[in-house]
Amino acid sequence: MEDLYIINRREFLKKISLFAGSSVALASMPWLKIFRDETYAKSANEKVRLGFIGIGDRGSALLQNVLAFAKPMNVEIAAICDNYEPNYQRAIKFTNGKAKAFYNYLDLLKMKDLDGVVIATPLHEHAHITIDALDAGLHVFCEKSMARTIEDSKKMYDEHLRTKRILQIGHQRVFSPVYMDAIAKIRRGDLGRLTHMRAYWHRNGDWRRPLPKGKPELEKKINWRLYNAFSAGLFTELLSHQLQVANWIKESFPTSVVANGSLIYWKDGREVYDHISCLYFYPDNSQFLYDSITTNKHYGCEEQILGTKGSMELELNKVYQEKPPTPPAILQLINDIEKDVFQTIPIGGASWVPETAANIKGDYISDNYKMDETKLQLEAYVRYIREGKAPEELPIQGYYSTVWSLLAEQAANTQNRVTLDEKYRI
Amino acid sequence: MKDITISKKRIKTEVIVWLVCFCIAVLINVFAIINYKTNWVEIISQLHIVLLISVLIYFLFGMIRIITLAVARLFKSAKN
Repeated sequence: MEDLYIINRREFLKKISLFAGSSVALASMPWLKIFRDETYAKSANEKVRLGFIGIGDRGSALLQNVLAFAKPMNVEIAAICDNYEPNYQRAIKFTNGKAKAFYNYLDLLKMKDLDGVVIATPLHEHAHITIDALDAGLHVFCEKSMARTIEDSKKMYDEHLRTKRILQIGHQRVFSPVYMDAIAKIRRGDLGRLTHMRAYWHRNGDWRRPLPKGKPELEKKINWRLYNAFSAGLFTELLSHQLQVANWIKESFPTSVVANGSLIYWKDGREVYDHISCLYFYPDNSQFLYDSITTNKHYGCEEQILGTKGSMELELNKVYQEKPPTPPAILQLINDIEKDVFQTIPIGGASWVPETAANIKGDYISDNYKMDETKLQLEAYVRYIREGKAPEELPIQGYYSTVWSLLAEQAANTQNRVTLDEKYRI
Repeated sequence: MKDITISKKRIKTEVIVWLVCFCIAVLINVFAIINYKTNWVEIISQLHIVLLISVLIYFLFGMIRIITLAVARLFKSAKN
């Protein structure tokens, strides 16, 4: 696992050095500079000591990712915390009992010599835990979305500014080699003028986690994503990821949003919508169209970037040109002969031919699509801790993707076109 | 097993036949470049496809030659 990490990292560094030649590309990804720096405020010989708060599914994945590079990066998982017994026991197992284990995060924050924490609790707990951790002088990596409310998100951001501690939000796509290459190509003008964006995340499932037998009282603790007090459902759990990508690509943030939500299928006591659709407006009058559903997964998850000269499908790692380069003449001739021989001749037919999608294979955006962006973002966090600071663009991206996801929820609930109150601008 | 001997003359004839096929393939490429208004670089860059086409023409031509030969022999033996 460590070998793989080193190979991946070498490839990644090669990519960063390529970006270094393009000031435009690097300006769009200032958080990557840290991978080129070799001198830090805290020496590489000194251990970076991390605490993990919330070891559910996502927390476990983050913990395992850090464990994969803990040795080469000189990182110690010094503490773990979860107030749900099975998660608590699982975290102890992952760390072979070496990390101090807590049920209450406040006890973890009292530990001396911790450098930072990784927070992956349910959404409604992000704000107060983050603020307490920043107050305790710790750097914070917090899973997306930032908080359940816009007020709490603002408080988190303000606290980060006040304490001058790092606040990194878990939008892993900003560390994805595919997305980096895509941004570099977009900035180079490969897609022409960006005029439209579409994204969707379609699943077919009830989004439920099984409860332990005979413990119905744990429903809201385990299935917190389904209840309004704890989550905005598809808005905060899925949309926020893709909205962050849209904002990053547009190099701006929306000016308003209209949205709709409906609960039409999973009528099992949940409160959040099982189908949502949103339309965001950007300062240049372009739009970002989004929908997320839970009853059909045929189209899966995708972000489509549409420009006058081409299109990109980021999840598929594909780029398509509006006018693909013509094949060599000899191949065109062979194709035409083949068509003349084998094509059937219609004798009268439809007077209108449907404008179906272009049937072209396209090219890959990036060759390095196998690298793990979650690991890279955590490695970056460790490096930022050594440096003692992180680029401000990271929390800003996290803040606005959360805030605009929550505004879409507000738009769906009120059926109004919603804008951001001036007091929440940062 | 009987040894098959290919004469020098036969080899020379076959090489000439294939060269004719190659020239025909090049001419097809030139026609395509003019017809589809593409770059003349394709004379060189698409040489691999031209070679393939020349081999294809050579085999097609070979089949015609074999059939012609077979029919001619059939007539000859019928006469005798």
